[in-house]
Amino acid sequence: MKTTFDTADGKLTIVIDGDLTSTTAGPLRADFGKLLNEGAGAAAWRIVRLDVSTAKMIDSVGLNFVVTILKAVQANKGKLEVVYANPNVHRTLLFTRLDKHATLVDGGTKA
Amino acid sequence: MVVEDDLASREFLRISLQKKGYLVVSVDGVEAAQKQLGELGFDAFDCVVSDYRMPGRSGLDLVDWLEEKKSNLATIMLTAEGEMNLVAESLRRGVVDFLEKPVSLSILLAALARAIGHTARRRKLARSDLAVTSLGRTQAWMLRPPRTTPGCMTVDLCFHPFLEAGGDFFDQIQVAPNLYCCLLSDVSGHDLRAAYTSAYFHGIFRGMLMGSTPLPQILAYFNEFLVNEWNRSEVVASQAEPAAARSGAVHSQAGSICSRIEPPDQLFAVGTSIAITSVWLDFQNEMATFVTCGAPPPVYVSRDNRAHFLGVRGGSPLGWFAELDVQTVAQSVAGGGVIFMWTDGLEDFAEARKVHPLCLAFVMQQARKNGLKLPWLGAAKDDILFAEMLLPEKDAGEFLFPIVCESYRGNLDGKIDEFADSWRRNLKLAISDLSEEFEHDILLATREAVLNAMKHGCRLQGEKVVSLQISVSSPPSRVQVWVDDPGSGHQFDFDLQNEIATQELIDEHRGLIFMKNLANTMRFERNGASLLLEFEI
Repeated sequence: MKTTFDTADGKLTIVIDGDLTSTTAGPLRADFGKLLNEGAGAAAWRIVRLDVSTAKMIDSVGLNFVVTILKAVQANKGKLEVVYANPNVHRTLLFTRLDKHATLVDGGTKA
Repeated sequence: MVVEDDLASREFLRISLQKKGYLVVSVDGVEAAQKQLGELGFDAFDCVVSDYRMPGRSGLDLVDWLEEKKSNLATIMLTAEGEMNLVAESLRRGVVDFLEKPVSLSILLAALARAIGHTARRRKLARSDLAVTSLGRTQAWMLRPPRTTPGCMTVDLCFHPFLEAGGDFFDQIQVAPNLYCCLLSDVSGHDLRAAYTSAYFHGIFRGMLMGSTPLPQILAYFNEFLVNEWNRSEVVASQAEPAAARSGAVHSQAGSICSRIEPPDQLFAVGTSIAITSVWLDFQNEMATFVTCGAPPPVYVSRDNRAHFLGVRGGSPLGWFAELDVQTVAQSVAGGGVIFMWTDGLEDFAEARKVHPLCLAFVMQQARKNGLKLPWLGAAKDDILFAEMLLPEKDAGEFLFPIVCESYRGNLDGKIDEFADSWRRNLKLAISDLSEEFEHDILLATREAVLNAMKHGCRLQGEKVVSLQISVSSPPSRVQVWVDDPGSGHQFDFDLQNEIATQELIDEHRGLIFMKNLANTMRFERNGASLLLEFEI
């Protein structure tokens, strides 16, 4: 997981490398826990951009991790953007209705 | 035959050889040689002695023609001084000897004797090849699919011999009006000896069965015959001798020890053994009795498309130990279903390709039905024989072929990626044109189902086991996934939980929501401890 934080506009970018599944979500969750404890934590984030554009699969445990981020962001009245590229990942985000809570960005077509 | 354009040389050779007792036909060039050979036949000659340089076509042209026609005739090439640079090319193209003119009679006679011997060996080899090919064709014909016995069953066989003929064989014997015995056997080795032994065993088996000898008695008889007579010169039985222990003796389940005297590190390298799977089908009482000796366990697929492995792997084939190592399993076949039996060649090749044996069998069967060749089957190191017995149905429904039947310990959730890779390999082999979308959906839903069963059904305990079965229709347009766990299941209102999970962003039951949305249909049995996912692809 790579993160960059732009203090000017309060935008945290989290880039996930590969699939977001039960076997990868554990370490990501730990890393995210550390982020929450750094500085002002989630209170400083106005927008969190979660980039899963290299993922070909997100399973239920992986999605729970996304929801964890979502809840942390919403608790501080921030917004979550999820960047995907794979159509199967997009379908997963839709049937779990994540689009009702976060902005889905097609990373395969964006500039 | 002497082929020489120069009259003097030709006559010298003809007369010299005739004086030594040879029958000689002499001609003045390649065309004349071809004409004579065509009229008299290759077998009328034992050798060709040909000049290299002749008007029109050379001696090498004749050699090429003889090779092309598979004449098996050895050729001695004669050449003038200074043409020895042709030696390598001549030998490469099949010339067995190369003599420089003028040739002394003694050298020619010595070369002639070698060439005639060479022809004899080539002819013997060709006869053996012909015999093997003929045997292989007969075996393939006897194992031809499918065979239908009206009102009883249809037998479909997939046979891929390692060489032209092999030791795997199948026979279907009607013992009484509603009583059949099917026997699938695998003789150690995959050569002519194995094919011969296999045919011998099947002949005796059929004869004894028709003579009302009970199956256990037939097996005991043949085992005794193999151990005490056939393999006697190669295998000795002893009781815990130190030498046996040093040589890596093998203990049977009964505790006896068997080892070869020499070489001690090549136990059973030469002896003959026969692994068998047989099924006694009683259609009147709708019962099948399976008997196996050292063969992969057979599988019965009931009408609900669930696969049941009958017996366990391992055991000793006939011919290893004096004590018979037999597994017997009785199974009701009420309502019909399908029985699968196969030899270990299928398992070995499936393991090499990292797929399930049944998946490999499915692909072989599909290829045969569609008239397709599977070039990669040539890499198999053993004979492969797979038998499918389709039993008469009471309630006709779609039969789905199981391509993955696996069990996972409940604490192996961390290995789910490894398991999913295996499912992917099997699915892609069974359904060559599977789209990325369906591959994703099947793999993800199956992943969720297996993880769910491990977590809730097994409580992540290693002594509990999750069972998975993936089945495919023929042609492959439908996929079924069964996941079973030993838990008691629990009641679950999907629509309610789906709504709560969506609105309140709770984590519980998200796996079930995945499965419900990815599969075309999802069905629970045993209060949810058994789950069926179906995909229309």
